[in-house]
Amino acid sequence: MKKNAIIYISIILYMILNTFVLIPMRFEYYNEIVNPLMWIILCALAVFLSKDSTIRVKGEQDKTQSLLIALIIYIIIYFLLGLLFGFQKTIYAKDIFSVIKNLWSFAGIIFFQEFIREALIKNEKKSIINYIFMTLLFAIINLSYDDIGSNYLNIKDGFTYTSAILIPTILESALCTYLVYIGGRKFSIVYRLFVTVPPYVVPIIPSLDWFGQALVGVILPLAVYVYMNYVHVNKVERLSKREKNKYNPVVYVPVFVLIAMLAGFVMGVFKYQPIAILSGSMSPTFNRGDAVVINKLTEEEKEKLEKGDIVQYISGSKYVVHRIIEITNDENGNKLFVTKGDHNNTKDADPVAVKDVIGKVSFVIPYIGYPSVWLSGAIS
Amino acid sequence: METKHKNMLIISLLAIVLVMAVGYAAFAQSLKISGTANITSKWEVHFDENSASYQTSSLMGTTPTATVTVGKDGLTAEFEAELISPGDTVTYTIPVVNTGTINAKLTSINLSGENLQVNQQNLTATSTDGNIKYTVTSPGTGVLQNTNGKANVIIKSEFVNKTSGNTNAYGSQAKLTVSLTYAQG
Repeated sequence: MKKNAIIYISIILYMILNTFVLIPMRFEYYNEIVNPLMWIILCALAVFLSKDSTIRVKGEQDKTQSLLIALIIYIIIYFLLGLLFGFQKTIYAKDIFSVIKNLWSFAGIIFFQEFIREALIKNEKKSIINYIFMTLLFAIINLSYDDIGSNYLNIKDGFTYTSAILIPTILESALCTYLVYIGGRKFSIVYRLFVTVPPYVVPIIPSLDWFGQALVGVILPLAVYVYMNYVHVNKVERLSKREKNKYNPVVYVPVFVLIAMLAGFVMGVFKYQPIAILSGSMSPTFNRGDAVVINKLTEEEKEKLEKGDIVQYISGSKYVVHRIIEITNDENGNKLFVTKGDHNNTKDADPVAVKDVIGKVSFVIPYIGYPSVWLSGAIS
Repeated sequence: METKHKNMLIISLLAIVLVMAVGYAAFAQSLKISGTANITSKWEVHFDENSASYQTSSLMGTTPTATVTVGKDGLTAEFEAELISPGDTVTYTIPVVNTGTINAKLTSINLSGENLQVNQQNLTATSTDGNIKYTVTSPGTGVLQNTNGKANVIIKSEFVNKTSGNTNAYGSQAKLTVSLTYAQG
C-alpha cells in the first residue's frame, strides 16, 4: 500500500511539475530528453519499490499470438478505412533520423509507463481501487492533461472531445491494465505500440472524423478485451465447455458487425444516410424530431430531380431539407431549384444550384431524431 | 486454435499488411489525401489572432477597413478588405506561432477566395473586376522552433486604379483566405 502510494504521488508530482514548470520553460529537447528522462526516473523508482514477485502467465505463447492476431487485423481494418474516408498526411517528418527520434520521444515512454503499471499491479494484485486508480491516472497522463481544459470551452467541443478522445483513452488504459493483469507489461506494450506507432512511421493515416475516431477508439479495446478474455479464461479457469462458450468472442461478432454497419449508415458510408430534422419547416410531411433517410444522388440523378421532390442541400454552412417547387435556369443556362418548406409561407431566399444538392429524401422515420434535436438544443 | 495454426494466421495477416503496403506504394498518386492530421496536442502551430494588426493608407483621404478571422484549425485565416477609393491599401501583419513541443516547418501556403484570380506561385490574388489586389509575403520555410517560435505573414491589399483617371470613391471589397500547412521541422 505504502509503496504504491509513493509511486502514485511521484507520478502526480511529475504531472504537476510537467504542466506548470517543464512545458512552460520550453526546453528545446523536451520531447527527446526531458520527458523520457523523467519517465526513466519514475520507472526506476517503481521497479525499486515493486514486489519481487512475478506475474504468472499461463498460456503465454497462446495469449501473445492471439494479441498479435487481433492487432494485425486492427491495422488492416484501420488502413482500409482510409479507402472509404480518405487519407491525411501526418505532421511527422519521415527521414530515418526523425523517425527514430520520434519513436524514442513518443513511443519510447510507453515502455517506462508499462513497467510502472506492472509494478503497481504486482504490489497490490487484489485491490480494485488500485486498478481503477492506475487506469484513470495513466489515461490522464496520455490525454496530455495540460490540454484537457481547452477542449471544454463549449458543449459541442466538450462532447466531441469526450467521444473521440476521453472515452477511448480511458478504455485503452483499462485494457492495458487488464493486459498487464493477465500477461504482464509485455502485452500492454505490444498493444500500445500497435496503436501509437503508425503515424510516426507511415506518411498517411485514415482521415477519420471525430465520430470515426470515437468508434475505432471504443470498438478496438472492447474487441481486444473480449478476445483476450476468452483466451485467458480458456487457459486459466477450470470451466465447463458450456461455461467457456459464454466467453467465446464469436458470440459477439454479430454485435460488432451490427455496430459497424449502423455506424457506417450514420456516418454516410453507404448511399443512404439518416439525418435528424431540427426544425418544423416541413411539417406536416415530417416534423421536428423525425429522421429522414437521404438517398445521396449522383450528378446524373440530380439532373433528373423533379418538382415536388424533397431534397437535402447545403446553404452556406447549413444543411436544409426542403421541397422543390420550381425548376429554373440562371443566366448561363445552369439548372436551379427553387425550394420551400411545406410549413413556410414563402419560398427560400436563394435558388439551389445542382452542385449544392446532396440527396433526395427516401422515407421518414418518426421521432428517432429527437436525441439529435436535444443535443443540438443543448449545444446551441 | 493450435499454436501452429495461429502462427500460420499471423504470417498470413502479415502478408496482407505487406500487400497493402505495396499497394499503397503503387497507388499513392491516386489515393485521396486531404490536409494534414493534427493528431497530438504536442502540435500547436497557429495564427496568433490576438497579435494581428493592420495599417491603412489612402491617396484620396478615405478610410479603408479590414477584418481578420482565423478558422478553427488555426492555420486558415480570412482577410476582408473594404477599400473605398483607388490607391487605398491595407497591410495586415499576423504572426504564426508554435506553442507546441515539436519544431515546425512551412510546407505549403495556399490562397483562395470567391471572385479572386489566384497566382499561387507569386502569392498574389486579384479580384475578377480587377480592383483589389492581394500580395502575400510568406512566413518563410525556416524552422519554427518549439520554444515559442514566431514568424509573420504579411498580406497587402490594394485598390488598383483599374479605370485610368477614375478618382472617385466607389468602394470595393474582396475576401482572401490564406491556408498554411506545417509539418515537423
